[in-house]
Amino acid sequence: MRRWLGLGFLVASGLCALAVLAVLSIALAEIIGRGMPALDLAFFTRPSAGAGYEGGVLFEIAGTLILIGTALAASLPLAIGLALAATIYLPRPSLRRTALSALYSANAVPSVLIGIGGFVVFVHGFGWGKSWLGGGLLLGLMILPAEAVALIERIEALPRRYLDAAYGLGLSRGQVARSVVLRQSLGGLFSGALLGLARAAGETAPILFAAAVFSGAGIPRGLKESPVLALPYHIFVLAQDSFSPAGERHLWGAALVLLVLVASLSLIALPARLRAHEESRHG
Amino acid sequence: MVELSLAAPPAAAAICCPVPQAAEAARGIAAVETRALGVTHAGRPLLRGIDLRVEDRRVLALVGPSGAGKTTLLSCLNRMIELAPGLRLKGEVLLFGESISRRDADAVRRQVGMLFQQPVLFPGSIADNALFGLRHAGLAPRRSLPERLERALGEAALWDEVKDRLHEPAASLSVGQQQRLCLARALAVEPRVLLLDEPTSALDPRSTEAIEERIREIAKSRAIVLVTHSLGQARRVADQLACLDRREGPGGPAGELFECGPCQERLERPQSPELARFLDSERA
Repeated sequence: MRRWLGLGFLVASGLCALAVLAVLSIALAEIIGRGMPALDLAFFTRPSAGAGYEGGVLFEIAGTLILIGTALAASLPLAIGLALAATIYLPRPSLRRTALSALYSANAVPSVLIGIGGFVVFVHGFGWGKSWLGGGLLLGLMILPAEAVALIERIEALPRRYLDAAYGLGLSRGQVARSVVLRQSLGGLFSGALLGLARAAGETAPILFAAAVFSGAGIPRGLKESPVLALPYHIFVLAQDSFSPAGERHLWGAALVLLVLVASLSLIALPARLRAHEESRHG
Repeated sequence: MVELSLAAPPAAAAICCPVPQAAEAARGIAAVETRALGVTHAGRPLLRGIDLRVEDRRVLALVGPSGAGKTTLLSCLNRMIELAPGLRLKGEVLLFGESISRRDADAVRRQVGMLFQQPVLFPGSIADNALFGLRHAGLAPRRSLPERLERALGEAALWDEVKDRLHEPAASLSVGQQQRLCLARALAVEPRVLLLDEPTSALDPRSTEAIEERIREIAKSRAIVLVTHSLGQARRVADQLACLDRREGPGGPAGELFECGPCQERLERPQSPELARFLDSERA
């Protein structure tokens, strides 16, 4: 009986995994199949033109990279601070659990709410108008919990004996954080940051309100009223408006570029995640 | 959160090595002294009424069965116990006559070094590991590091074996060499007291002999507290012996010291049934 139950569970799990893989494969095949014809050198080196139906996506790629670069610069120091506070400076387990719960909850805040918050604070409150800085900060805020949680999980997987050995030599908490904790958790930090960025690169809602425009922007030259073009927003607008074959081709091309960008970030993070997983298993 | 208090010892507390005040003054200041030391976790006692005196330049062997609280007692002596949440500490620990609770915890740990059961190596080279404490705690100027490295590895009797491969990964050493590297790392920050928590339990007889020889040598300049399960090892290296075992008392069973004195004398003429049983089991 137990053997049959085990077999049934195995088959059900396999079918579920296959269903997910099938849906994913169909979506990927669709994007690759429809996007590939649009890709040539000019698609990457020319700005978009003709209501987005013509030209390339040069400034959309540049804008997306500017936004996620700003998000990384803004969120990484904060994520490191939060993770160290939760693991090294909060000695009480109850406080640690509270901090982790708060981070998990923050990770679940819908991105459209973050976008509206950014619109109120950055666009109106600070008077920045649409600006790459506001958009980058919002994306940074959005990925901050994911980065902090990834780092906290990595730090908690560190064998306790490393910390004891360092404290036993008379190192202060700050010195232990620098010399042991961060040094041995870089993989977690790196993979958390890249996965967060992969998510940020594909987000439309936060930048829609605070940073992105559909056309008329290039490389920003200031802070205020300096919007950028961005791949997700470009795809969003084209998907709503495009009825011409040229627009559709352009849309799928942009989608494929975004997919490759996001997949690259995730793939770069994969070895670090696997290494962290192995180290936590074998201590 | 650990709280240190100056509460008087309970009347029923087991007093090990009780020393009259006049005699204490004659003996001078101990390297480490505990007064009515107790540890509780969630109201349950782990250690009770520990009065212990460790003389400078002597080895005190702390023996007792597993779970008696030997490692817990060690971690009270350098405030490592404060890193474990939920433990409360009562009584007082003096380091060369000064209460450690009134001093900076990091400074106490630099003066009271610790070597663990298993060698703990940080990623990096042999030199990186030996200088870890000095470098990261900023205890020595950069130009003095080569000299400090040679001195520490020499004290751990490792210099001749590794001097030509200081920049090779520390993990390439044998387990015995790794433990001596950890000893060198602890010695590099120049502690005045060394706590050794079963340092040879993972080693073969040859590596054990090397560590024991080091212990005798290091004890010429420092006080050492050695936790060991081997009475043979205590006999070979220790000047003083203290036995710890769980005994019933207020609040439940807890580790208490029940025999303390010159090592050879106590091992030849044990005064407590616990130590006699321990000796019998070792002979068997």
